Amino acid sequence: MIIGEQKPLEEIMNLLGDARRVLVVGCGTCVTVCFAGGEKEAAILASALRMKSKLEGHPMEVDEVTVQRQCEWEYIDPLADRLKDYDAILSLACGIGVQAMNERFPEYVTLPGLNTTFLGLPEEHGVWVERCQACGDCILGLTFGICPIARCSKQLLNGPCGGSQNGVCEVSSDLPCAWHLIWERAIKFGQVERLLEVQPPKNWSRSRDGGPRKIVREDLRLPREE
Amino acid sequence: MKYAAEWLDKIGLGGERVRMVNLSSAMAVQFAEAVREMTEKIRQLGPNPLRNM
Amino acid sequence: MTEAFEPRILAFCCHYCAYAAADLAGVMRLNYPTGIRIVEVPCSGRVEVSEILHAFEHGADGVMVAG
Ligand code: SF4
Ligand code: SF4
Repeated sequence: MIIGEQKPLEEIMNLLGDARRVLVVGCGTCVTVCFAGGEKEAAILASALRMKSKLEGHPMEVDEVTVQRQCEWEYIDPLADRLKDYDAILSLACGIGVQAMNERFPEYVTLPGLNTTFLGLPEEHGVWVERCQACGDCILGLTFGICPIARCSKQLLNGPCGGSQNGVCEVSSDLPCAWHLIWERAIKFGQVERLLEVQPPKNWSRSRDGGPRKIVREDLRLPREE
Repeated sequence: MKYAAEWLDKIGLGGERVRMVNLSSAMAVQFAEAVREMTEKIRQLGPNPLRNM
Repeated sequence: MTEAFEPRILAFCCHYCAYAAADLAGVMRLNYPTGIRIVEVPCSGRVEVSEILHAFEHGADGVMVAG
């Protein structure tokens, strides 16, 4: 899922400037499960904004609402009538949700309350780690299910590099070397010869390097009205 | 509790204004003591600045 | 002014432990400050951070969560 974390309160206050009426819009999916922007976080932030703005002498009225998923029109459309009551809208979804709001409601500017950090998973309660970079051409089948694009600091396709020491990446002592893990898996399955085959450079045109990406499924499209 | 205290610090009210105590149902004396301690602490910190705003 | 200040403290008390302890304190006629207001909750684990903040927003000087 998409992992995010809330921006510092000071930054949020600066983004809101001298807004008097603020609507905090939470998202009930990815950012709820990573405790960054769900219903609970929206309630906490709204309360914090009310108190801090009051203490700083320019009280804001802050309401909050949380939609099931901020990145789908059908879930945000019901907000349409409410937005006119506010002079600032603060989204607690990932960057996709923020943009969905701005795209769907172009008369308003929706501000980001989170930093969208990565695609990953909770390794344990309270610890999130990056697992995928959405490269568009998945090679997990070659790497025994461990992604060197997201998890190797150098994104090597043939690893490890000389910086791998006792299973640890040279970049940081608490960062496992992805290629070390891949080799361990290859040894476990008795297939090291598969890793000895040199991989040619990856086709990055299917990643972000090829410009913004888009998927069209004609079979799923609804007939267009003329 | 730590999280609530962090928020109070960020807001500017002071994280010391919130406290967690563990008691069993028989610990009436400790309950009264905890309330007393907390009251003293808050007395030192002064009133919640939001109260008269 | 500071002398007259009687802190208003909200205590979220678990039904099974701290609330029972508070009850017993009453039965035992123990003295404790009068500024405390008790909210009984089924378990102190159910107290949300937003509820603690809510108390401060509405003028509490301190909050205790007792379980
Ligand atoms: S808006 Fe972002 S956080 Fe919310 S469901 Fe969509 S992808 Fe997940
Ligand atoms: S290879 Fe690409 S698609 Fe597959 S997990 Fe890694 S970054 Fe994601």
